[in-house]
Amino acid sequence: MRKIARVLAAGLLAAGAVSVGVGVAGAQDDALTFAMVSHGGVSNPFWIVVIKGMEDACTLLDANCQWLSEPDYGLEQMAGYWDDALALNPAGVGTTVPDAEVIRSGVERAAELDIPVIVFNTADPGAGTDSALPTLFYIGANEFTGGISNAQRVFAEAAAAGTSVTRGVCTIQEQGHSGLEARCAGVESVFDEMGVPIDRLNITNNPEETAGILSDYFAANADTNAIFMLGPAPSSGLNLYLQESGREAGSLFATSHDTSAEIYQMIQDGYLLQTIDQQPYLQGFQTIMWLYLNSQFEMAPGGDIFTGPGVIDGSNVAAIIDLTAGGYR
Amino acid sequence: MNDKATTPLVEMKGIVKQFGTVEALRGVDFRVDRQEIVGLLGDNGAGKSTLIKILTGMHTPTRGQIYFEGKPVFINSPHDARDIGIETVYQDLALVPLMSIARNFWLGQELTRGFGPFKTLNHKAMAEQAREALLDIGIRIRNAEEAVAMMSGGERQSIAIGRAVYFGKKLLILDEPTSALSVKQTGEVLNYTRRAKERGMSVIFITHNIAHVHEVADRFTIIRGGRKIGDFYKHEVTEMEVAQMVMSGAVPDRLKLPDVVEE
Amino acid sequence: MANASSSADMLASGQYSPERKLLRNSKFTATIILLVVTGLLSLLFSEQILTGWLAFGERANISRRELNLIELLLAAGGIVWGLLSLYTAWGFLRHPATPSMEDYLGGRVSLRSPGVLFTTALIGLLFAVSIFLIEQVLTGWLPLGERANISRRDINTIEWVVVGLGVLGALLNGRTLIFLLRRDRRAWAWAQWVSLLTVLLMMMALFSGGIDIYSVVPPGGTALDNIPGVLELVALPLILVLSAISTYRYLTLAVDLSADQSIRNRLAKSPGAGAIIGLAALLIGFSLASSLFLEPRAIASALSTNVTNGIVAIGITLLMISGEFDLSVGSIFGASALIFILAMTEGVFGLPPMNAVIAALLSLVFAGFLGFINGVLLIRTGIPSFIVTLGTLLAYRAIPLVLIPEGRIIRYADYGIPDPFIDFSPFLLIALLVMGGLALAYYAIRQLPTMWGGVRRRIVTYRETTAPFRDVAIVTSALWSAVVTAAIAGLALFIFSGIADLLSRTDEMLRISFFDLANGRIESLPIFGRLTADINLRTGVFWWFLLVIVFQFILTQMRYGGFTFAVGGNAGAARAQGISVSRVKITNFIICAVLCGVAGITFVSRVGSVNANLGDGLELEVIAASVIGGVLLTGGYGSIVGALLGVLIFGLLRTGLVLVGMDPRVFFGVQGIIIIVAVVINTAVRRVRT
Repeated sequence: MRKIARVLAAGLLAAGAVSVGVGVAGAQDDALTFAMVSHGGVSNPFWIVVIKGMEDACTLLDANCQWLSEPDYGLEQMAGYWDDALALNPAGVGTTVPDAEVIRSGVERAAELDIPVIVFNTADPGAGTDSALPTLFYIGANEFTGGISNAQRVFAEAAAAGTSVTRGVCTIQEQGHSGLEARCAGVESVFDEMGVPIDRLNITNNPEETAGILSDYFAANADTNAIFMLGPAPSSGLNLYLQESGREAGSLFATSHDTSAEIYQMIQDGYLLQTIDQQPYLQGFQTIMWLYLNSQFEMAPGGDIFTGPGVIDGSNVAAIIDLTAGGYR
Repeated sequence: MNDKATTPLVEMKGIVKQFGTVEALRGVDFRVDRQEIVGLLGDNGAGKSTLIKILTGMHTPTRGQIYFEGKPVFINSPHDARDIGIETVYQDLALVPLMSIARNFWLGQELTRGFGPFKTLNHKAMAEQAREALLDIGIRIRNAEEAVAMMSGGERQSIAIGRAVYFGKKLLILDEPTSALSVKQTGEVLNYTRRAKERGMSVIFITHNIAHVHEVADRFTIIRGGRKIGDFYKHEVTEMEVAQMVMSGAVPDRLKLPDVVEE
Repeated sequence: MANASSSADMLASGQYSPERKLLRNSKFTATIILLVVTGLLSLLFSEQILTGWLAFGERANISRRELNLIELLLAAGGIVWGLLSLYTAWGFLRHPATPSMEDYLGGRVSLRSPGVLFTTALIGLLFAVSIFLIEQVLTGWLPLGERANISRRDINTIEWVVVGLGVLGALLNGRTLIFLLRRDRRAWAWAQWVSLLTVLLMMMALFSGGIDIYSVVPPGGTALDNIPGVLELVALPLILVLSAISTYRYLTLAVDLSADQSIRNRLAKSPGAGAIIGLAALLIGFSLASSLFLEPRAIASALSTNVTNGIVAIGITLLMISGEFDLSVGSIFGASALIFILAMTEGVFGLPPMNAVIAALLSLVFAGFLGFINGVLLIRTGIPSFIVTLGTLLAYRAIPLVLIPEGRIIRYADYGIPDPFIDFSPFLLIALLVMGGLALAYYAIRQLPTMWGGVRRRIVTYRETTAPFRDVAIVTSALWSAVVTAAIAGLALFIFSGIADLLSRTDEMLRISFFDLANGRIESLPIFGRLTADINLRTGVFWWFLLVIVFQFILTQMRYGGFTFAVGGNAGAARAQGISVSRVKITNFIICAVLCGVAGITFVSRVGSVNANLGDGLELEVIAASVIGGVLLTGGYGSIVGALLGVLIFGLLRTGLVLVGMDPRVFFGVQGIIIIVAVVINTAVRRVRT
């Protein structure tokens, strides 16, 4: 079943890629090819921005680029996409590493073929250890730091409002995703330090279900006054819950990760203190640029490149909304 | 050879059926009189089921003509067969196991009340009438709301037979009805078959084993290798002779008649 | 009652004479193993009390020498029960043909015969437990649920329910015990029912104890590290469950048809039996574990959250009864929700943005068309629906991916369009209410006399009936009649007050947003009063229940429902009776898809946004709910009400687990266990004699 989805997605993307290539420069025979393998794809607004960064970089370089992923979400399928990536005979490959073992054989074959590999968006959990994948470096946000930033903001706001954080909850919509777990771990590290209890709560990507779960959770835990959402769909659920329960904007300290029109509006309405933007455009754009620089001129930065955490809150949200229209944020 | 005044209920004349180059039936004449139980006998692959499938509209004959109540008919689908009053009871296809006896009995022609699109089922009337109708031919059921799955194979056959009788069918075809039943249940099914005849129906009883049908049949038609071997009234032959004919195809000399040897 | 007399018929006709089953079969071996386990568990339980590891009642310190009265009683009971179980098991093993209840009632063996003694002892024990339970609750020693103070006068609802169950248990068990001692034949049937009920009740207690097991497991350890803690929670119900199962099995070794048949018959007739039991277990278990569970807020939240699943489950159940699957429901739901919101905001298929009602109709037609494609593909190709709809699951998912090229989330609020208000004339609503009132009156006139007449008839013929549960039948039928009467009275009151309210303001048009009508807060409709803010009951719940009633009615009361059952149960037989199998299947595919479209409209009306992944994974949730509700995967069996119960089980399970604060990691595990348990019960219930 996934295979059919893959063919379908590849077809759609191929159509897109061809139109871009023809429209911009006229495909050159000796053009470089870069591939980017990911666990998320075109049906998610977040990845659309990464893909735009990739395409813009490729346009500048007159290169051929391929985005290889399930249209929605797929971890196990990444092994197959790595095979596809190597079959393209690429000058370099970018990959996310939500699970190192799934893609290990692909990455190791790339190393044997001297194809440079850069990790973007989701870092190799084994980096720096014996089990690290043979990759160059990481371009993306530090999820753990993002969680810390959100938690610290919540404590600061509570102090400014003259109250204290009594209990927090970190909601998680895709259990077992290493990036999301790291965000919650960052939040929990701050709470542990402050000696404030923090719960974890399983929610879903369906706003209706999430709103129901939150309603039940707050009924059972009325003392919780801080909540951490990890993405746009969960924030949408929080918004639905807040509106239907009629809670005041200041009664709950809430933060999110990533961006969407609804998240901006929630920040403007005072429902969210801030959201952590990992600047996805940079992740697509820089990965291609560094693959180019490394494959052609053997250049490399001094270490990992962090595209986040960038904070969006009431002070800069209006400017960000303008940039969103262009597809850069 | 039959001097009954009435026209036969069904008459199939010179039926030939070819599947590609294979001739399954090579010109068979077959007849069922009114209120008659005919045992259609033949070994597996003899052609008896092909013949019946032609009668029930599942196959169309390559050559030959079917007459129903003296009039030529063309049976092109099971629907046509049902419309002229032919009901077939297959061994496992007769009833829906998880539905109640009453719902099975009335399946496809349920009793309703109300009007237009708001017709609702009249469960009570269906249960009562099904119970009465089955009792009428001697089938006692405990509770018409009970699922058919709770019944034995013989009881299921009986209910299918009772249904055919109740809805005024003229010809009942029983396809190997007793092959999976115990001796006692077989007895019950034969009993109801006889009752069906008393209610004015004709019955074709298909089997490969004379023992299953000898008790109730009025006449035996034996098919072998796509041809009719013989057509005998019960008093003309012994059970043993029929069994012999089914197996070997050899007709005893005393029974050889011109009309059965013709092509 | 019919069952008893018909079994007498059976016996008289000689057709179903009770044949003595072979005792040395695997079933019997299993009974012996059950007894041995019961015995060992009882002994372990006593040992833990006597060594001081397991404390009951109020005890200042846990020094090993000071056992209180309750503990001594429990320990002694445990030892006696353990020895009795082992003795019975040994007795079964020793005698090649164990005397059955038949032999005892016929006066051929004494009360000391192993199985008979065990049965009698169990009934006696249950009698004692019932009395003990009543006494403990009424004297305030046993607080249940969450209770602020333990003063004796303050008994809460849950405790009253327990007292009621205790009284019922004492009556049933006491009477059975008397019958048993008198060798009255009725004892057999009664004992079967009692042991069955005990299994069900104790399963619920076991479930509510099981929820708490994780709380006594030490961090980083397993349940084995705290055996006393686990035993305290589950040992008593577990011992009773195992004992009751053993007894039931012993009693059915030589079958007494009246009870066994009627138990089976009754259960087999309700496809949702497993779901009803599961729901009851959840309700009791969670309400004991959290006082927040049976609150209007939690119930309203669970209902409102599951409108989507509930409506889609209706369609998939109908389809599964006709023997087909639809895995593409999630994709159809997502696609039609998208068509609905796009039609209102941007316009679709080259049409300009349109009125919400027309957009809704358009999305339903679109959904129906997708269902039609499913059905035609299935009929034309003959490929199993599992494969066909697996294909369309993926193909239909491409619709939102193509229609929202940039993967955006489509939000109604982003377009700045006001909510789609519809003006209703109060007279139209009055007319609708009057029509509803007339229908209600018609129903009341037709049904109520029949129902109460039935109760009267049961009372009048009390002396003549020989049914085993004539008094229970009177009580239940009277209670049910009272419930229906009260419901009718309540609805009538609602209609009258609604009409009176509307008549007082006939001069203004009533302005209702289409979104509120489809799935808004229930009080956004002018005919309802105010609810407190935290009760979030949506109008979608009303549509969901209405659809359940309509389709349950179609399924059981109309010809089309019969065709659906027949097509799924035996397509050949249906065809032979002139039913067009392919037409029924295609129609059910269309109905299922249109219901997905309805769910899409309610979703958009509440949430106001659609993303490209909407509905991903929905198919498995609703199929699981249908299966819990008793639908047979091979078709031909099931009910819409069962599907409703299945969805409620899922919804309440999630609510309950969140309220109890269970570790989120075990959530899926619990969900899986519930599915398996419910299906096992359903299968056991359906395994009628064939």
